[in-house]
Amino acid sequence: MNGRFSRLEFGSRPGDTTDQASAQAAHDAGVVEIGEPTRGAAHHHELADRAYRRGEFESALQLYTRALRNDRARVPAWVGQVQMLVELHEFAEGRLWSDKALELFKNNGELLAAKSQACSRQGDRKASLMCSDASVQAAGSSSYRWAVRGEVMLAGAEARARDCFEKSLAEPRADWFDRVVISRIYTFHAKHGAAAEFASLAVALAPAEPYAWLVQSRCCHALGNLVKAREAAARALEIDPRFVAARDAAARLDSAGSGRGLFNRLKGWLNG
Amino acid sequence: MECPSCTFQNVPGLRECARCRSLLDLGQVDITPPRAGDHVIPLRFRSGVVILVGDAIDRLRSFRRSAASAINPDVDVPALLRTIVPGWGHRSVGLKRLGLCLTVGWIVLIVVAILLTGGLGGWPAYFALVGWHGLAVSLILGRPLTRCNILERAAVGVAVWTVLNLCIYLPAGWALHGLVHPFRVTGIINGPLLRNGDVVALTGRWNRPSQLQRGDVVVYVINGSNLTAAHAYIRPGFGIDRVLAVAGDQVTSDGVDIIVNGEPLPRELRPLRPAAFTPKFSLTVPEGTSIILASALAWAGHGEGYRGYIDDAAVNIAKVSNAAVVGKVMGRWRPFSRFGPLREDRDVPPARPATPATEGHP
Repeated sequence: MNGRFSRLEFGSRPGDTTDQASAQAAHDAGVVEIGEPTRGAAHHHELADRAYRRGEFESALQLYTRALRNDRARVPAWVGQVQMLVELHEFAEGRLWSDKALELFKNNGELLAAKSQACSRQGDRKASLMCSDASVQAAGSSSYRWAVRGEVMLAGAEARARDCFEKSLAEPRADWFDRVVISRIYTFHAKHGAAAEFASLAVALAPAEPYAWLVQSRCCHALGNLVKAREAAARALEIDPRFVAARDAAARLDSAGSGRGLFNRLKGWLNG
Repeated sequence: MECPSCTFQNVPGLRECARCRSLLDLGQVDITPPRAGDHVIPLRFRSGVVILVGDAIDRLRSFRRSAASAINPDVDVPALLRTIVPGWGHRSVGLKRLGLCLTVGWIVLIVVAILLTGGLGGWPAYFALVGWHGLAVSLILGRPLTRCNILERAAVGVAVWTVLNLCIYLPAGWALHGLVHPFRVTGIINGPLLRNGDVVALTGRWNRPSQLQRGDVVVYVINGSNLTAAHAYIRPGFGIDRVLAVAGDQVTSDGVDIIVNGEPLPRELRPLRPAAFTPKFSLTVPEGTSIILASALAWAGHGEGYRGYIDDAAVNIAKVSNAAVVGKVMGRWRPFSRFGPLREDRDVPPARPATPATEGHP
């Protein structure tokens, strides 16, 4: 489509505040300027992925929804929605939404993996294992499916979890963000030592990514290593001074005293 | 028409993909995911008064749903149920060290609470124990609670506290008291066997002996007619002393010694506190009564002119019905240095017989 109709967006409703909210969210994510003409599903999907890779899950969720408004058949956006619900700790909603998506796109490996992750975080190990098995058996392969399988295994034998994470990183399109995903999985399960290890790998692979530094900062903070945590947060701010999450982390670290550090060390020891 | 899931090329007009059965027409599909905290508030009632009630019910329902939504989806229910033993739930989710610390701390607090029960430290130890258990529960609930506001967290805290007390600790305390009843001894003059401040362990309601034996040390209720027996008080309304004779025994006193069934009382069966004056009497202990020669007999020596009256009153004081016996002393609970069966402390000189002229009512 060309000319004056090229910028029309089909599917949008008049007075739809979500459009404005999504645009604002994209602006807050630092990836779009207010006033840019609205684009199609691919554009919003790209913005959503960028927001996800900055740890801005709420913005990413809105942008994935925005992408689906333009193209309901965009399966990765459905997967993204479930992933964001899980990252926002809305596990029941994530599971519900993955079930809905699986009704539309049966036996989709990525959706099965997302559902497996939601079930695992809900504590439903049986369902998570079933979904993970189906996910790796479904057509195709991805880092995410193996990372989720690793998370499911983490509830049992840790050695097998490690194998799955290694397999995830061996996928052809694995990048620094997959290491961050694994680090966050370990953080969720309170294994801060392993989380810090994978965060360091992410930083080594992508030293220009502020979110990788932020994740490393959080891992160091959880381990009680305030000095390294402050350094990592400062580095994230240096790369992107507008990074709100890094600014908050740095402020929290500045106010953390020796008592807090001791508490964090004790917490880290108790959590293994 | 390409299937968005498996990319199979379908014939146009099909509703589902011929290969994977995925929906092909997604035009009417809702793409907005559900969010935690999205709750439908029921419609309000119409009339003015009922609107207020309906409003309150709406708020309660909304709070209940938001609490349920905040807690239920994320709570590891099996781990939560295992927290009936603090630390067990944590170990089951992989937090082994934390679980071990919680369990060990809980056991230590139980022991401390049991040892301090009956004394000043008993209630603080109890609250510390329940608080520790509540901490274990809240650590399991920690992640879901982060999505609750302060009021909801407080409500959850109150609910946890109430459930722990009503379902575990109060019934456990009641059961323990059915077996062992700690009793603090006060208001007595220190003797070789008991001192002021000692906490003794009495039998509870379930293991109270049906038949008392001669020599049993018991705590008994002093009824109204015995209120003049000031020296029998260890707390208002209670006395502690040794059973000298039981139902059917023939008890006589010549004013000096007490003879039970024709034999003088051996040393270990004498009253806890020697009386200044032993009245002269002879009786057969009726059914359901034990002779407990209370140290109130010190009053028996109060004035020659009252001897006849006091003799009868003293005998009445000395007779205690089995129903008035609170429990039998099984041993000493505190101080811990003298924990165990009641034994005479040879370092403490025998108590002097009480002189009513120098000791007043408590």
